[in-house]
Amino acid sequence: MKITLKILRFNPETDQKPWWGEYQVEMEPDDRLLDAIHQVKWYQDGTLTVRRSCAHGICGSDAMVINGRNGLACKTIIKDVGNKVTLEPLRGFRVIKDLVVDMEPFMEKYRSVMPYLINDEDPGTRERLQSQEDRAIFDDSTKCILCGCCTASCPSFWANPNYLGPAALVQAHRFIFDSRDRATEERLAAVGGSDGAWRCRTIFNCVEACPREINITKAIGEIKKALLYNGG
Amino acid sequence: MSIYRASHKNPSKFELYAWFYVRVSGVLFLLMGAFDILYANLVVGRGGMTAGEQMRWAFFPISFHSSAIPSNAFWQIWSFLLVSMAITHGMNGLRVILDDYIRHPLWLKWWQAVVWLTWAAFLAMATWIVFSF
Repeated sequence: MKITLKILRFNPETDQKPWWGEYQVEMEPDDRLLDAIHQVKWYQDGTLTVRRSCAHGICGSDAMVINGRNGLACKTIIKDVGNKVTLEPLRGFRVIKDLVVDMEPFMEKYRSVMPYLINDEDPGTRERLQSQEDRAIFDDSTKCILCGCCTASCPSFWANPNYLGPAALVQAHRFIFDSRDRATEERLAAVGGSDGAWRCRTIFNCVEACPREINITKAIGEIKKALLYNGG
Repeated sequence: MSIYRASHKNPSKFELYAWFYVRVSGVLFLLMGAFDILYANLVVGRGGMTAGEQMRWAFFPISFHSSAIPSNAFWQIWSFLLVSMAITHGMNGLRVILDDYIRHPLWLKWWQAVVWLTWAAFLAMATWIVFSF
């Protein structure tokens, strides 16, 4: 089937403002959208810039706005988006070029919640054990691949770029509720400010955007409850 | 070997309290309104109040909303709690909206001051109305 890709192009070194480029490619209905983008870049216009790495929905590199909704190009099948597809870079981030945005502010917020296990207790000569029930509490949060689809779909983040954003909060959730972690209070302090969990207005855009189907708003709600029970 | 820990000073608890207050007051507001409606229909009795009077009575039960119930200390305090809670709930909502939409810090401070002053003025008015009639 022949599909038309309408891609929002922008090269800050040469363009005054973004412009739409239209490309037609021949694809199979079961191909991925990323394959169509490759067709354009490899055979029609090598200047098209896109970020991708694993191409299998794990690395989270190729997040973009597909027909108005955030998603991963490598997890989107052509037959699901029709024969006219518009592609834009993620909203709320500075565009480096075409579909590539500057993820550094996003990663900075990710780092601020200390996304690693903190436990200074000596585990001895064996691993730190955890029951299946304790593991299940934060299972959903472990699925995050840091693609940024959630944060870039959040109106609270668009309104205030200082907001930590759903992705960083999910990462905080992953460790706050880990029974092996010992830095709960510090992490709650990291997410308890006015630019932290409280800026979530439960709009649910993040849940709809997440390609890993994480119930992000629920996770943020659990953080709010943890802040309440821990006295902020 | 110790693990790197980012230093975060303890944030202000204001947002936590505001969030909790909104949830509790929202539920209480409806329960108190339901109590007022029930009171109007069970105690005052069928036909004692028109539908319009009942609606006004539900969320602001003061004597000039209904001649059927005389003013007393219980209803004055009850009305004051109900109205001050509703005003605070609503003005907090406005505060949050301003926080989301006003980007310039000076404009934000100015509008926040307007919200606080309006909240205080509404509260003063409610107090005067409730305890003067």
